This record gives sequence, structure tokens and C-alpha cells, in this order.
Amino acid sequence: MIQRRAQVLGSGKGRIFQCRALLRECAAVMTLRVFISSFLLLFVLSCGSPSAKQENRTYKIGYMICNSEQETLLRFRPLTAYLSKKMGVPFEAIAIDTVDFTRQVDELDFTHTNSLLYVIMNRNHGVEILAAEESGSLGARAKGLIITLKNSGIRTVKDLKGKSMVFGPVLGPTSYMAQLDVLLSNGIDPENDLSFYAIPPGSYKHEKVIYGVLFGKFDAGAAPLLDFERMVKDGRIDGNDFLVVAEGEPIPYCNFGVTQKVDDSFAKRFKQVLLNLKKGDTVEIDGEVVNVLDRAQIDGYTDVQDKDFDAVREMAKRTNMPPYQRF
Amino acid sequence: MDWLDRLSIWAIVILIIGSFAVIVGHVGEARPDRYTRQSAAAADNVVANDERDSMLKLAKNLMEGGNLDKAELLAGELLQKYPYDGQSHMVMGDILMRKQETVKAVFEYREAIDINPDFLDKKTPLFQGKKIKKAVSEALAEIDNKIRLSPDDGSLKRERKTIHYLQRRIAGSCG
Repeated sequence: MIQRRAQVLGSGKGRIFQCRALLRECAAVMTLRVFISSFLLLFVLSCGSPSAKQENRTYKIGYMICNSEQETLLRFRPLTAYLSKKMGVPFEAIAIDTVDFTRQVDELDFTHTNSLLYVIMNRNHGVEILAAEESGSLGARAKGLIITLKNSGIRTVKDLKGKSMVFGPVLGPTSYMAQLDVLLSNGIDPENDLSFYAIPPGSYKHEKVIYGVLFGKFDAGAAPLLDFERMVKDGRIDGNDFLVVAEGEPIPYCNFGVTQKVDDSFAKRFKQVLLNLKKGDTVEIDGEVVNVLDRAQIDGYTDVQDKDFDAVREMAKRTNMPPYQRF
Repeated sequence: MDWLDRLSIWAIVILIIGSFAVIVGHVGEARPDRYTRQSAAAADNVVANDERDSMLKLAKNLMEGGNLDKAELLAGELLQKYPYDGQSHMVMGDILMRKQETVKAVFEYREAIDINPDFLDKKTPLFQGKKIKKAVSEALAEIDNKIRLSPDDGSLKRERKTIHYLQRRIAGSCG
């Protein structure tokens, strides 16, 4: 526009004044352009990620207690040290009881839980999934079993009517929810149709369930396939003594999630370190070199999507479990 | 261009460069370990209130313990006492989500965000954006189902409009 106006400038005395006016206009336009460009640049930068700088603090990983606090820390402290080494920032392993997890999740940066706790925290606390753990014959999946002794006379789920049963921890998707789902879908309401049911106290609940059935304390038990497989493999039980009356549908196994306060790019790096973890990887901890995956009792980590947990969500709705529980 | 124009241009350039340096230097300073200090400055612009904080803590504890009715009563008291406190609306939203009243929960989240937009700003320790996003998508699905069953219900359409508004706020937020 200014160029066009320069072309139509006349000649004579007024030309000098017109030139000055044009220059002023030109400078004003330039200033305005610089101002607008800078404003836009600052606007974009002000919306930048908080982790543009590396945060100099200790990141907290909350590990759901599976069998006992000691066992959980023994398994996962080497993995935590490995993550610190690979990521270049300190991580702290915190063992948390399943029922306390949702109270503490907002203080954590990363979570390591079962699939049901993930679904609860995803809905109620904005936790997002990073990677699923692989272990046992189903890899990154897990399954709940209803087991009885072969000589119990129980052959089908319907035979459980009037019998006693022992379950694992209530927030265990393959030690309680999956079996409850099977029972309800077969018309058996544990509150009314079993003679009685119990949940063992204290640590190592899955093993207590299996031993409870083996020693005849209960007619049937709800156990995760993985724990059953491990006990058979270790020679602690003979698989031939048991009959699997029913199996739940396969659902994702334990997994790592990230809380909503952690920067996305940092979480992505964390996930990549997990996915790159190999069988031979070691870390030095307490003066000892430890194989990370062996100590954690897992085979590795694999990518998983939030939609893979939809089966858990549907199961939680059917069994009136959190996060969809109706009172 | 006279000396005054030149002086103005230089002043503007220096101001822009100065502002740029200051802002860039402070980007990313909102860290979780500064929670207390930032909360005092940013959280709802209210003076630290011990009573409010202890009531909020108790309401959250009741909620996580599954005592949803008691938690809702307490959150209701909080809202009466501190109607301009975003945290109280946020807790009420959380309780309603656990009571499976998703649409009502989203309305509470909307109140919280309108009072304090930091709930959608990932640079602050108050960020709750991912949780709210999840609630919004559930509420939308729920309201769409209801509208399918009662297509002439104007109140449902108004509710959907509010949920869409919140969806737009989330989409335009930092984080």
C-alpha cells in the first residue's frame, strides 16, 4: 500500500513533506508489525510446557502392594533405580496399599497398579496409561479363576450354590471382580447363594486363597491364573489336585500410569525406558548388581492403550465396583 | 522520521526484548514442589483459610472412603460458606462423579474453572484438566443418549450446550 502511494507522489515543494509523512507511516506500520509479531510469539511461549526445564526434584512412583510391602519394594526398588539411572533424575519407590491408593495418588508422579485401580484413577484422578507388564502364559493379560479340588464334587459354576468360597483382595480384578462377574452371570449372588464367603486377612492373600482350597477350608476359591501358575511352577502345589470351574475373560495385567501433573514429554521418555527394558538389563543397588526384570518377576513391558481397559470398565459396571459403583 | 519517532521505536523494541527475556526466564517455573506457595497466590485468590482447608480435606477423605453422602453434605456446607472458592466446586464435582451423576459433576467443574482457570492450566499445581476431560466425554455420551430418547427436551439441549462450552475451554487450555 505504501509502495503504491509512493508511486503516485507528485513533484515540487510538497514532495519533501509527503516523503516525511510516508516515512512516518512506514515506521508506524513496521512498529505495529513488530509489536503484533512479538505479542503473538510471547502468547505462544507463555502456553509452553512446564517441563521445558528439567525439574530438579525426586519423582515418586507409587507401587500397589501385591503381596506385602517388603515383597513389593524388594521387587521394584531395582526397577526404580534403573529408571533413575536412565532418566537422569531421582525416583523414589513408595509401596501403597490398594485401598489407600486413591487417597495418595495426587501426591504421586507415576503409578504401578492393577487394571482396576488404573480404571478408577483414570476416571477420578486423570491418570493416563503408559505401559503394561508382561508375565506368565498370557503375557500382558491376566485372568481370574474359580478353583476347587478335583474331589470336591463341584463341576460347574452352578454347583457352587450353597457352598463356601474364599476370595482375594476386593480391588483385585482377577482375584475378586472377575470371579464375581462369573458368579453373577450364572445367577449366583454371593450374598445370598453361597453358604458363606471370606477374604483372608494380611499379606499374600492369593496364596492363602489357593491353600485355603487345597486344605479343604473352603469349597472353592478365587485366584489369579498367574499366581496359580507360579505356585505350580515352584512346586508348592500340584495343579492336578485342582479343577478350574470357571475362567474370567482376559484383561490387562499390572501397568504403569502417569498422573496428570507430570509433563507429557517426560512421561513419554519414562514409557520409552520401560519399553526398551530387556532381559539382561541390570542395575547396582545396595552394593549388589541386580537383574531388573528378574527381580521384578516380569518378562518385560509392552505398549497398551486406554481402550484395552474397556473390558475392565464393563466388568466393573456389571459387578457394581468402583469407579462405577452405585450405592 | 524525526528524533521522537526513533526514540519511540527504540523504546518499544527495548520493552519487547525485555519482556521477552523476563517471560522466557519464568516459563516452567510452576512446579509441584512449590504447591503451597503457588496455591496461596493462585488458588482462588483467597487468604489462606485453615477452616476451609480442613473442611476440604475432610470432605476428600470422606469421599475416598466411600462416605459419599456425608462428603456431599460437607461440600454443600463449604459451597454455602465459600461460594467463590473453586476448590469447593471441584470437590463437589468429584463427589458427584463418584455418585455417577456425571452431568451434575461437569456443571460443578465448570463453576470451579470459571472461578479459577488454573484448574485447566498445566503450568500450575492446580491442574485437573485430564480428569475433567474424562468427565466431559462421559457427560456428553450420557446427555446424547438422553437426547436420543427425548429429542424434544429443551433442558437436555441446554445442558449439552454447557458441556460443549466446557469441552471448548479444555481444548483451548494450556495442557
